Amino acid sequence: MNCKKAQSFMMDYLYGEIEPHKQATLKAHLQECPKCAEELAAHRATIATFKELRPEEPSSQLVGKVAAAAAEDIRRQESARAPRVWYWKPALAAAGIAAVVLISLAHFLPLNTRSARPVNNLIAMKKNEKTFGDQKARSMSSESVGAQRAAPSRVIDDESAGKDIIAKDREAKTSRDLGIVSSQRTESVEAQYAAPSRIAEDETVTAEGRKSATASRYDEIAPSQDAHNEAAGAKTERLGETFAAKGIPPDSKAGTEPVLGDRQQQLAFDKNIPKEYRQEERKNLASPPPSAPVGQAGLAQAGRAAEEPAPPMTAGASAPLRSDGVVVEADRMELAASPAKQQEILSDIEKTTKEKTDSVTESSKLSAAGELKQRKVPDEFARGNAYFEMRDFRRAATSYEDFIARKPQGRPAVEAMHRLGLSYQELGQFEKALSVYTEIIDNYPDYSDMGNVLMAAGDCYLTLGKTEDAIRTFEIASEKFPGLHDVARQKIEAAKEKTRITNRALPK
Amino acid sequence: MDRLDRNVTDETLMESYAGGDAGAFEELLERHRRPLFGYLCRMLGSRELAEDTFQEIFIRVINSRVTYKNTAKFATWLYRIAHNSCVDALRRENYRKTESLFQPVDPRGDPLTGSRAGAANGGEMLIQDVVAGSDPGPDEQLARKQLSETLKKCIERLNPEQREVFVLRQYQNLPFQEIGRVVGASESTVKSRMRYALNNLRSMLVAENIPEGVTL
Repeated sequence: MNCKKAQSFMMDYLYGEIEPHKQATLKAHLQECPKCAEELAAHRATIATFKELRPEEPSSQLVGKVAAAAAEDIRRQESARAPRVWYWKPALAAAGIAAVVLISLAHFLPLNTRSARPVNNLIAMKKNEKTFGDQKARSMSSESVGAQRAAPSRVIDDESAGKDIIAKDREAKTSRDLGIVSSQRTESVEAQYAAPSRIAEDETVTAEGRKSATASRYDEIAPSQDAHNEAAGAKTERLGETFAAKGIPPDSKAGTEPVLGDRQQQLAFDKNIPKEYRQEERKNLASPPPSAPVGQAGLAQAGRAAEEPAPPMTAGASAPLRSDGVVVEADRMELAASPAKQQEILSDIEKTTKEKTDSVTESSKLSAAGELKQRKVPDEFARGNAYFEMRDFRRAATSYEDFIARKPQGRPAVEAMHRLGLSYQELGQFEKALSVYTEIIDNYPDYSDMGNVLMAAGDCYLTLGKTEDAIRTFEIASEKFPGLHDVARQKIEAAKEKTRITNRALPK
Repeated sequence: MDRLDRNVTDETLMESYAGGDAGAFEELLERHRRPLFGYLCRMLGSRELAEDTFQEIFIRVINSRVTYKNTAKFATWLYRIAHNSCVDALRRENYRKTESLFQPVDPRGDPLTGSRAGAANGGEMLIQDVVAGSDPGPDEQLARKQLSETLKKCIERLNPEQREVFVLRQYQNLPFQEIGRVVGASESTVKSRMRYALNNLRSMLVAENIPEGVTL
């Protein structure tokens, strides 16, 4: 056994940790090596001297405070446990409802934006409305006017078209109310569904009570008066506003509408329409009726309209006008002259809507990515701080390095650098720490904790043997930060003392 | 469970406390308060600072109650927390005191070279001044107190790394292997630090004119 091994065994022996066979080996070595024997005796005496030193006792007040803190912690946790049982259920229920709403919106909204069917339904409804108006203008009594007036409403409520439109219109409104969909998307939906929704509102869309409601409404109108024309006239006033917004004279657009092609099929769903009226409708379907004039302008042109071929689709009573006065794309559909033109515009709308939807999706993705990025950056900083507090400086340094690599701005950036420097210092990597501190000093002169950065940099210089740099750094800290003056002066004196000792130790 | 039963291990008590037994924590506190506070006083050199740190350590223990896992000896875990808290406290004090963890500066002399800075009481201390008597009078009590202070100062003058190992082995009775876990060093490094600590303390005792082997 050599002396080095014996010294290790000595420590075990002195504190009763040595194993028997090692003790025998040590004993044999001590008999041969007087130097180690002397050292062992000295250690034993030193230990005996310090053995009797009584440790200080903490005050009973301090111990009581700690015990109270522990008891309080248990009490707090137990009391916090009970309410949690109460509150998580409503929270879960709310989250569930929110999830259902979001899923519903996610399911229906894309259909709304892409599907052309609502636009076709809109056209169909408008045509139906005009057809009934035309028939009524020609032959119906005031009572039957009410019934006829109700008919378009029923068409709206039709399973194949009306419900779809109304439901989607409501969804669009719900979406706006919830503020979930983007403004672009809302615009698109609004553009497509504004017209049907207005019709639905105008026609008092209540399934069973519609007929009586419509009748009572129209009972107020003089039987001899053309109720539909009056209503249409009122609508034309609104349309006039729309045209004014578009710069188009209302008169030039008001006119008659073509008859709906699949009218018969739609009527089959309307069980409330009297049988005789349906028969008359079928006759009309067999030979398309002349278009009825709409509104005041339409009335003025009524005679002419009877001979002329159907003019381009009227903007109708429900041309969508957004609050900002911009007429949306659905207008174009209503103003289209031919089915081919309608199809073309529809394709255009679809394309535009898809672009908008894609744009929204893309922007949402980008936004989400941005949020993720934004969220991730503080996570790294927070992770670094957590490791720093746990004194796991290696991981703390890695986290701060990752954070800084993202080139963050502002106070978190400089704080991360400061903590990175401290972490390096704790890890004994003084060169790296110094490099970080230098960067802070150069780039963040207004950093609020600059005093401590300077002091830490000085410590690094001192440890690295760069005493002059250390003294200079401490002097700057002392001058710039009066609060650190005394400490800095002490450090400067210590550094100078170290220099003196070093110089003395160096051979001349 | 009888709290005063020494057969109940610290780890069992900590698990009971983690389960919400405040009495288990009180027993742990009772067992460790003296050695831990002594360790803090030796390490930090200030009773005031030791009290703050003592409180901080147990707050950390309280906060770790739920996440505590019985993977190591409780004492090792506790002193690991204490070690970290001391490093924190010393760093905080670093800007207020000249002495630091990395660059210990002792204006009273260099313990490693054994250069003498003078006896604490200004004169040579004789063995009869410090040996315990059967009926200690006022002078003897004063001498004991002076010796006690001198020994504390000797420990404080040790390099922090050596000081910590010495205190943990001498007063906390932690095995070298456990000390290694507390301070984050190998067992052989710990033993090496202990040897240096004992050598330096002997030098200081000689410098203070305190005969070796003297007891209070």
